[in-house]
Amino acid sequence: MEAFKLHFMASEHMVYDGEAESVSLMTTEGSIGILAHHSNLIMAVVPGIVEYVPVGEAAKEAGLSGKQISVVSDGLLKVENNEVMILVDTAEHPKDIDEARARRAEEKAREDLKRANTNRDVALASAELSRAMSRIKASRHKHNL
Amino acid sequence: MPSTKEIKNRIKSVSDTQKITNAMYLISSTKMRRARKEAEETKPYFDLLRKEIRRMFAIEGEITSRYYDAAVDEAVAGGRNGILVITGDKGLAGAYNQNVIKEALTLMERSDEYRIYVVGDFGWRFFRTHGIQICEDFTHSMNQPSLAMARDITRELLDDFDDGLFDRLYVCFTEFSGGLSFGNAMHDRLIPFDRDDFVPEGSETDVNASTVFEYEPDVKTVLERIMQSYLVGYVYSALVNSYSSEQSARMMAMDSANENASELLDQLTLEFNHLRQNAITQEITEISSGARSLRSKSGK
Repeated sequence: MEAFKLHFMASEHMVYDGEAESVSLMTTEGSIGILAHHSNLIMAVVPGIVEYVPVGEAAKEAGLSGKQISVVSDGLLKVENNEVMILVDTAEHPKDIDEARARRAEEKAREDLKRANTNRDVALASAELSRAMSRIKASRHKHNL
Repeated sequence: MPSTKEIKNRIKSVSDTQKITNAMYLISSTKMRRARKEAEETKPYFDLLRKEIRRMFAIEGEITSRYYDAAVDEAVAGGRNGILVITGDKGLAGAYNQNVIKEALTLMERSDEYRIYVVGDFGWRFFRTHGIQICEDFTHSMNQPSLAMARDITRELLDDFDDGLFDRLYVCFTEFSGGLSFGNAMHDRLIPFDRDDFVPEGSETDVNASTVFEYEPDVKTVLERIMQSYLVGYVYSALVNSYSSEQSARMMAMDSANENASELLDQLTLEFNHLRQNAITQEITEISSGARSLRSKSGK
């Protein structure tokens, strides 16, 4: 499969900078998959899971092989001339996620959602819930790897 | 004239104080270095974000939003302002806290109505004791600025902005000017922020406006979403700037305290030696005159 350049950056660290075969992530318009030679595009990234397949030198150096997963928060996706840039506030590796804690967060978010009165409470609780759910999902991936 | 014992005590207390000021100096310099290093690490991210925002403005010049629709004239600023004041937790940093508070007070005078958000215990105490209404549930200490803290602050402020509690948001902070110096206390408008900040200047060619992008669903939606990330970056840099200025102001204050203490110690030691010498001289005079009177008695 043909590869393209991927710059995947969180505010406090670089997640991956090098060649990749594919990327898929969640945006405001739903899930999107990107392969080489995608048309130029700018979209907003929403909290969820980013999956990417790193290849080439950079992947070898970082000791990565096969599909990689990262849990991200809000951000920006840019595709420009076969270069993909992902800018997100935070990105977590599944191995850094504590599943038990994510579950507790999920339960709490569901409770909050039930009790929410104002629009803002609903927005906050559902954002928290989707965050917790993607963390749980990512930590399950970890067991399958 | 103080006794030698009194002076001795004084010398001890001054040198103890000097030990403390010296330690505070060292602590401040480490804290400052660490904060600046962390800020450096986040710089590439926010630079890229800024560049993308600039590109969007360059392509779609007409888009407006309440976050960045910016035709506000500074001269006639009035109306309902939110004011974020960034102070330190502690004093003993020269005029650092006073300067930024003064900046906030001028801004308050210019507003018809204001809501004050204070970061740092010093500012909190100041506004409380002066009976100025502040947002009670907005409590952030200025321990060590972090992105997480900037994120919390931005979210709380944006929530209040979305609820229509104020029309404009200003931030009062201290700009770090490098080295051993007081930074400049200044204010800046955060929302709606100046779109001119993003208009590429003639020489800037890093944005290639000729590349065509598809925006999904549209530029405005994308822009409004990443605006928040950008605001977080702005608040973070204001925090780090203030924090560095605070530490540098404290380093300066402690440096001059150290110098004063050394000077004082020199003086006191001199005085102490004088007194001791006087005492010795007096003793010798007494002994020798005693001896002479004895000798003259026995000579008779």
